[in-house]
Amino acid sequence: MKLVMVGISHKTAPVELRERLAVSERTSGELLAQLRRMASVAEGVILSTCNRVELYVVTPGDGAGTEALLEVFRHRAELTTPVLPHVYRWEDGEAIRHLFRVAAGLDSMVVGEHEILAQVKQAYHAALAAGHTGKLSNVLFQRSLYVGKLVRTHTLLSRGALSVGSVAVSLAGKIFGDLRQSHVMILGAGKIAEMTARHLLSQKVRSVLVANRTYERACALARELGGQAVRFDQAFHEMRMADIVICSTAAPHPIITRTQVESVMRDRRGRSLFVIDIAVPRDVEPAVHGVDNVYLYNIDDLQAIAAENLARRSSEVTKAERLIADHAELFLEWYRAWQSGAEHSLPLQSPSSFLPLRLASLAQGQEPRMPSPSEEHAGSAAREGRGTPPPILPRSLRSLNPPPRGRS
Amino acid sequence: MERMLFNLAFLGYTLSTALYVGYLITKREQLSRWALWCLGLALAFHAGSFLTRTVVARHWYWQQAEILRRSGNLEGALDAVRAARAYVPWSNWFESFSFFGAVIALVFFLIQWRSPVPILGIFVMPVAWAMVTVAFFSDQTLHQLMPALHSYWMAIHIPVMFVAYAIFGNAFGVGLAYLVQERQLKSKKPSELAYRLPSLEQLDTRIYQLILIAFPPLTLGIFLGGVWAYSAWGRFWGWDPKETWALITWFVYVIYLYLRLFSGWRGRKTAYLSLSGFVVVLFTYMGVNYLSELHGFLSGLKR
Repeated sequence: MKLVMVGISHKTAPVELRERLAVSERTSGELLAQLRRMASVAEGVILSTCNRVELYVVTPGDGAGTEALLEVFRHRAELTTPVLPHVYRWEDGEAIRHLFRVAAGLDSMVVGEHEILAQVKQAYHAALAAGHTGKLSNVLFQRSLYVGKLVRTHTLLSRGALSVGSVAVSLAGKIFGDLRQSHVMILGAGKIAEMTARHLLSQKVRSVLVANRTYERACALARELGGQAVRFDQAFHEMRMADIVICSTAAPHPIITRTQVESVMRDRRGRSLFVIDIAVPRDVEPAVHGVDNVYLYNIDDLQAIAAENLARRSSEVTKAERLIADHAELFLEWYRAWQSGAEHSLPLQSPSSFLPLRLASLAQGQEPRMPSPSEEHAGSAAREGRGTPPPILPRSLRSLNPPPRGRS
Repeated sequence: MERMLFNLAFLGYTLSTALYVGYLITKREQLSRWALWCLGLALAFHAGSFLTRTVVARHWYWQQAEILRRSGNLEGALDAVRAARAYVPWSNWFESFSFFGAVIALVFFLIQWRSPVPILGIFVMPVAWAMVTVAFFSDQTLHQLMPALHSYWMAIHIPVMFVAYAIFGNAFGVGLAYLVQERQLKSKKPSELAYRLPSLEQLDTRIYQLILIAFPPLTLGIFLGGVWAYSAWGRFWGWDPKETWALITWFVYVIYLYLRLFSGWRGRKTAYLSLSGFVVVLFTYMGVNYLSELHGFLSGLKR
C-alpha cells in the first residue's frame, strides 16, 4: 500500500483552470466511487476548494501513473486544455507533509487562514461517509486535522487582522468589547466606507446610520446595509448616539474638528468614540485624537497595523514548519511500520517536542482570536477573477475586500 | 509551624506572581493556570498559618499572664488574659500586612474563579505580593499590645476594613490595566498586549463594579470604628489623623461613584481617580501610623 497525492493549486494553476476542475461535495463522492472502481485506488479523499483540487489516494501498486487519475476530473469538466503541466505529485512522506502544511494553512494564499482546516475536515468527512476511506486515510486525515489545530494554537500564524476593515473591527472590539451594543455611523457613502461598515455589520452591531451630502445616495446605501439614512446637516447631532464613526467624504478640508468632537463628547456621558477616517484627504482633524476617550484612526494607521500583523505572521512560519516537520516525521514512522505490518500506536507528539506544548493544546481557555473575516475571503477574491494578490498588502486595494458572503 | 506555613504561603505568592509574569512574556495559557493553582495553595497555607498563629499566640499570652501573676503583677496578668481572649491574627505590623496581602489575593482568586481574565494577574498579584513581602521582612515575634486592642472589635472592625481595602486593591490593579490598554489604543500602534487585555469598556466596568462592591464595607467599617472608639475612648469621632484619613478615603470613592454615576465621567480620568483612591487607602493604612498617637499601634516601632 502506498500513499500518493496529486493536485493543482493556486501555486501551479490559474484560477480559470482551478474553477473548472473544482468539484462539489456531492460530485466528489461520485468521482471517488468512479476512481475506486479502478484497481489502482484502494482509498481516496478529494480536497476541493477554490484554491486547490487535490486527490489523496492509497494505492496497492507502486503509485505510478497516479497523475492520470486527474484525467477523470478533466473529462468530467469537459476540459480541453491539458492539466498535467500544472499538476504536482507527492508520495509517502512528502504527501504527508504536504497535507499537514495544507491543513495548517501554510500552503494557503493568505498564510494562516482558518477556512482551510474546516475544508479539509469536510473533504475527509465526505469521503468517510461515502465509505471511500480506509485505515491509512482515516489516520492520516484525522492526524492532519490535529496538526492543523496544533499549529494554530501554538503559533501566532493566524493572529492579527490583515485588512483595513478587519483591523477596524478588532480595534472596535478592544474599545467597546461587545459590538452588539454599538451604533455605527457612516459619513460619506463611499465604496471603502461601505466595505468597512460591512465588516462591522458582520459583528452584528446594533444600528447603522448613513449620512451623505446627497441624501438619495445615503438612502440607497442605508437600504443596502439595513440601516437608516440621515441628512448631512443632522450628522453632528446624531454623532452623540454613535459609537463608531466611519468618515469617507470627498471634502477637501477636515469636516470634523476638535471643538465639534469635544462638544459631542460632553453629551456622550463619557462613552468612548471610535472615529475611523478613511478619507483622503482626511475628514477629521488629527487633534481629535487628543480628546479624552476618543480614538481616531486614519487609513494609514489601519494599514500600518495590518502590515505589522502580516509581518508577524510570516515570522511565525518557521515555527509552524518545524512543528509540521516533527509531526510528519512521527507519522511517517507509523506509516512505515503499518506498511510492514508491524503497526504500533501513533503517539500525539514526537519525543523532540516537549511537554508544555502538548499540555497547552489541551487548554480550554485559548485567547480569543481577533476576527478577520477578509482572510478567509481571500480565496473567493481570486475566484472572482481579481487574480492573485500581491504578497505585500499595505496600500493594495485587496486590503479593502468586502467581508465574506459565504464559503469559497 | 506557623512560620513555616507563612513562608510556604509567601513562596506560593511569589511563584504565582512570577508565573503571571512568565505568562505575560511567553503567552502560554497553562502558565496562568499554574499561577492560579499556586495562588490557591498559597491561600491555603496562609489560612493555616493564621490558625496556628492564633493558637500559638493565645497560648503565649496565657503564659505571660501566668508569669505576671506569679510575680505579683495582677494588673498586667489581667491584661494578658484579655489579650489572650481577644487575640486575632491581625494585631501587629507583620500580621496586618500578611492579612492584607492574603485578602487582596483571596479577592483576586475569587474573581478569577468566577470570571477568569488571567492577564489581570500581572496587575493585581504584584499588589498582594508586595504586602506579603513587607510582612515577610517584618519582625514576626509577638509583643504586648496596647490595652485598647484587647477587644472583640478587633475581630469585627478590622476585617471589614480589610475587605474593603482589598477590593480597592483589586480595583487599583484593574485601573492600571485600563491605563495600559488606553495608552496602547491611543498610541495607534497596539502591541500584542492590547489584544490580550480586555476591552476598555470591560475594564472600566470592572473597576466600577469593584468600587461599588467595596463601598458599603468601607462605610460600615468606618462606622464600626466610630462605635469602637466610643466604647474605648468615650467619643465617636475625634479627628485623629487615622479617622480623618479614613474619611478622606471615603470621600475619594464617593467622588468616584458620583462622577461615574451622575456626571458621566468615564475612562481615563475615573481610572486615575480609582488609582489615587487606593494610594489614599495605603496612606490611611500605613502612613497615618506615624502621625497618629491613638492609632499608632500598627507601626510596630518600639516606643
